Amino acid sequence: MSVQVHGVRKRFGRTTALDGLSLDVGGGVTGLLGPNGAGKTTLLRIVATVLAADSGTVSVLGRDPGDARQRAEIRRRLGYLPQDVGAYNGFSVREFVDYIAVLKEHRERRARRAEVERVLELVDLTDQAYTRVKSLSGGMRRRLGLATAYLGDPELLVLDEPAVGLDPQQRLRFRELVSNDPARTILLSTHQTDDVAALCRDVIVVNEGRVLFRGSPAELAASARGRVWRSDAREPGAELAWVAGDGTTRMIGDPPPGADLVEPTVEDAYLVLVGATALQPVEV
Amino acid sequence: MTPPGVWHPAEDLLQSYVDGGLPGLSAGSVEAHLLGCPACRVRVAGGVEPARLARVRLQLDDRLDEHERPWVERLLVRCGVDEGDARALLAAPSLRRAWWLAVIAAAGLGLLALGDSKDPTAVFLVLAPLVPLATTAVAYAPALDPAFALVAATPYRTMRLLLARSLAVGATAVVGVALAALAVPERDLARVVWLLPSVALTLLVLSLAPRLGTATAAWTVGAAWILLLGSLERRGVDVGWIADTAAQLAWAALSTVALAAVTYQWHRLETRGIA
Repeated sequence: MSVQVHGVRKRFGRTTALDGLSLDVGGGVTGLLGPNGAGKTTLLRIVATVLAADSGTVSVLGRDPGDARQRAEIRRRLGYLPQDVGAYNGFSVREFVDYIAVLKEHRERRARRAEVERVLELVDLTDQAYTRVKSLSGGMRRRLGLATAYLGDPELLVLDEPAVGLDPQQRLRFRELVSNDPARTILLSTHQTDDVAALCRDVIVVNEGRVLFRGSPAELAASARGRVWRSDAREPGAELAWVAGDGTTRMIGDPPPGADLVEPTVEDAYLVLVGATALQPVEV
Repeated sequence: MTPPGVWHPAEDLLQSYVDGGLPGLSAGSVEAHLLGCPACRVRVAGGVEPARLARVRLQLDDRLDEHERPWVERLLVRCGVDEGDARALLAAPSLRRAWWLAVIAAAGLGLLALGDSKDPTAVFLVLAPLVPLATTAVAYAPALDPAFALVAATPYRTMRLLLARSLAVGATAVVGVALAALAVPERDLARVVWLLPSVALTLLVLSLAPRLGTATAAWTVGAAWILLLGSLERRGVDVGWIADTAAQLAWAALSTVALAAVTYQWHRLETRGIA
């Protein structure tokens, strides 16, 4: 397992971000789904070794991030995209990636230059290599962060909402980049259930610092069977309801007898979990 | 076919140019022609050995890289500082901000000392230790480095980076305040006695920063300094007490304790905790 987290707790003042959370992440793409404040970013920061857990055990790439030497080894094999990609406005795109490459111990100048060019090409920023960071759009900044994460071809990628701000074309390119990479372990958080369905081998739903579900996207969707139906108008028993594109009302909750049940999507299942049972977390 | 009256390099001349065998003046003249003649560029295209092209490209990139690097970085590297350290030290805007703050604050202090206040020396002694304290805090605060989350996930040692920035800025502030001290009109001792309180207060901020946060630590220590001086003044103790031997020894002792605390915090964060 690339990432093993057991019984991890983390508090910020009076707020509990992670409440004894446990999970294992192996090869391939694993998606973390959860509402704002669920603890996704805190978990990813702990896995990325930039934050220490208050208690519990964490192992990343078989090493203990609490030990300085092992932490440095993890960081050599890890790529991290934080939720907010802060970059220096006065730098050009190329300068900034080069700066992070220096900190990632790419010391030989010519090899570093080649690596910087490679990752810029990977995220389609070659044409913006000499553009100042302050002139970049939100999506371009995201891609800049992604470029730094890919420096050194890391074994483990920890990506916090990587698709935010990307236009549809760039999102497809991102999916292509991530999905054509089966040998790497990628742990990504997202609000986009369609990204999870399209990319992830495994999905973990987190809420209030605990794991609510762990399985494949198909298993997540299947977990909502019998809880999603449609009708002409909202019916009793519906915890969530919305009018779909075809004019019918799609509902999630406890269907009445004889309801027109529909095959749930990943999004339906996510809403069933988070919308209805968020207050009664299930240990997995 | 060459139009009459227009000169184009002969085939053997072009070939010598392509092979790199022409002397400087002739090569320059052929090159100048090639820049303005698409037909001749077509004649030489593909004639250059790929390995040589790649070599030239690398050399060109090296030269461009050299020019892109700031002169301070180049200077530090020439002085033996590791390239990674030099780059990490200079990159953060918080560092430049702190440097500017140091320069402006020191200049302001100099003007105050020259001014016509009732006791410019006292004003100088009260404010001087706050300059290194404030500028070091600005350089040290991770929150002021927009790329800190990215930087913290690299193998580069974060505490080392923060302390290196703080020391660089602190040293600048101390030099600035020392220059400003030359403007103090009286009491020669006032020109040096601020140094130990400055060092003590700055180290105190650095030792408290991991627990309180850099901004809170800076405000707390700064306020404590002002309150201490204010309360002594109310008791009729002149600010000149800073120059007393006993006071200087006390500041030296506090500096030592604070340095030990900083070293311990640094060691703890580097070995067990996470920055």
